[in-house]
Amino acid sequence: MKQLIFFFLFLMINARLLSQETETFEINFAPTFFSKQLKLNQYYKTNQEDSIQITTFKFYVSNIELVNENKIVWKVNQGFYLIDIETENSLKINSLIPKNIQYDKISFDLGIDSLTNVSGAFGGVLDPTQGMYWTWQSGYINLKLEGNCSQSLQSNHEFIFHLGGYQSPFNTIQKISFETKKQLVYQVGIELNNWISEVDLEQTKAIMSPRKEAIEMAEKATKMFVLK
Amino acid sequence: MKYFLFFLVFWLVFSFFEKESNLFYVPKNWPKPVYNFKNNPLTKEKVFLGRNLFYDPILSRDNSVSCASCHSPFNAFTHVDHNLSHGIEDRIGTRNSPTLMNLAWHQSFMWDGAINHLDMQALAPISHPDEMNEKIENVVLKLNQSKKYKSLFFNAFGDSIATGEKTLKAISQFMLTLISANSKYDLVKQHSAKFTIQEKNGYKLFQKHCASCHQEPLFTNLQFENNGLKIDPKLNDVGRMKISQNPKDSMKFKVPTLRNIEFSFPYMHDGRFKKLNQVLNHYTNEIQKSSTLAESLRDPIVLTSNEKVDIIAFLLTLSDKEFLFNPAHGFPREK
Repeated sequence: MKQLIFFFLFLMINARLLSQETETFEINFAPTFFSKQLKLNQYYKTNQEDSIQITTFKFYVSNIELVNENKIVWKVNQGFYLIDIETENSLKINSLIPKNIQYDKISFDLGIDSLTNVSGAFGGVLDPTQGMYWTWQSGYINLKLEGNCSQSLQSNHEFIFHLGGYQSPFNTIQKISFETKKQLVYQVGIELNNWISEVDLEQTKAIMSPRKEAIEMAEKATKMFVLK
Repeated sequence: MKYFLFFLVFWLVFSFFEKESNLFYVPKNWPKPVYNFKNNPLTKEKVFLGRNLFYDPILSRDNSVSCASCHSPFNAFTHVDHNLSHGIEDRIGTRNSPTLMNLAWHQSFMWDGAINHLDMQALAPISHPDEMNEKIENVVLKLNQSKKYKSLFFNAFGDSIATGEKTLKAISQFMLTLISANSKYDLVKQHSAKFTIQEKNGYKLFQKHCASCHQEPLFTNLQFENNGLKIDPKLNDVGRMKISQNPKDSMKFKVPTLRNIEFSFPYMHDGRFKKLNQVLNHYTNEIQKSSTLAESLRDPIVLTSNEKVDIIAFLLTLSDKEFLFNPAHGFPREK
C-alpha cells in the first residue's frame, strides 16, 4: 500500500514538474593560474617566482542550491559533478530549474556529503573507478591536486593533496556561495593561485587522509572560486 | 484506464512476491539487518556473478589471488594456517583475514572498521599492495574484455558492461548470502536439539564471562574493544585508533563473531593464537591492563581448567556444517 501511495505521489510531483516551465541553469568553471588559463603539465610562475606544474586537478561539486532571502528555493537533486581540469566537458554543468523562480544567492558543496559517503557503491561520476574514492578507508576524495613546484624541498619537488573525510571531527566538505542576481549562465573562475599562495609548498608534501590539515587545506581551497 | 489500474495492481503484487527470495533470510529472533537491500536487491543472477568474482583471481594484479584465497568456505571464509594473510607474490600483510558470515548485520568492516559499507569492502583487498595490488579501474577493464563476464553481467544487470558499482554490488550480493544460523547452538535455541551437560555448563560460563562482547545471536556486539593483548612491537598495530585518530581507541579491534570458531583458527587480529585453549588462557592469565581495556575485562576472569574445557565444548556447538559445506557457497560450477 505504501508503495502505491508513493507511486501516485511520484506521478503527481512529476506531473507538476512537467506542467511547470523550466529553463537551463548553467555554471561554467574557468580554471586559471594568475589569470592565465590553467592547463595540466604546463609550467606557471608562483608569487615567489617559483615554477609550478599541475599534473592532476579534480574535485566534486554537489548539492547546488538556489537561495532567496536566506531560504532555499531550489535544490538540484542527485546533482553530483566531477570537475576534471583535464576534461573540457566536465567544466560545464547544467540543470533544469523552474522558470519563474527568484533567487539572490547560489551555493554548492565542494565535495560529497556524509550520507552519500556511507551509502555504498554508486555509478557515474561517483563510481570508485573514477579514482576519487579511498580504498584503505571508506570515503570519497573531495578534491585532488597533484603537481610539483621548484620551491618544494621534497624529493622530485612533488606535492600531493587528496582532501577528503566525511566524519566529524574531520569533515572536509566545504560550502561555496555567491550573492548574485538571477542569471542563467554563471562564469565561475577557479584561480588556483588564490589557494596555492596560502600553502607552504616548501614543507607540505602530502595530505592524503582525513585529518586536521585536510580541513585547513580544504578551507583554503574554497578561496579559488570567484564569481565573474 | 481500467486496464492500466489492473496492470498496476498486478505489477505491484508481483513485485512483492519477487522480493520473497530465498537468497537471504533473517533467522528467527535475530535483529533487523543493517544492509540496505533496497539499493541492491538480491537476484539469483547477481549473486551468481558475485560468486564468480569472489572465486576469480582476475581481481588481482597478476591474476594469481582471489578473494577465496584468504576467505575459504571450509574455514568459515577465512585463511587457515597463516597468522597473517598472504597476497600476490607471497607478500605478507599485517593482519589475520576475518571470517565472512552474517555480514548484512555489520555496520563496519575490517579489524579497525576502516570500511563503512559492505559494497566498498572489496576495494580494500583489491587495492592493497600486500593483497591483490590491483586497481578497480583495471579490474573493470579486464572484466569488460572477458567473454564470460560479458554474459554474466548481462544476465545480472541486463547490460553487459561492467562498472565499478556493478562489480562491487555483485560481490556484496554473494557475501550477503553467507548466513550461518544452523549450528547445534541454534537448534538448541529452537528446541530441536539438546546441549550435553558439559556444553550446557560451558554456555553458562560463556554467558557470564564472554557474552558482553560476544553477544548472541551474532556472537559479537559489533563494537571495537581492547581485549588486553600485548602489543606486537614489530607490527605495532594500534587498531581502531589508526582510523579514528582518537587515543581512546588505542588497541581496540572489532569484536569478531565466534560462530564457526572451530574452523576459523588462528585467532586474534594478528592470528597469534592457534588453539582455543590459548585464547582462554589469554583471558584468564595474560590480560594487559591499560586505559582502553574493555570494561568487562577489568576484573580478572577466573576459570578452572575443567571450566575452560566446558567453554570450548560450548564453542564447538557454534559450528554450522550446513554453512561450511553449502555447495551454493562454493566455487561456481556451470549453472
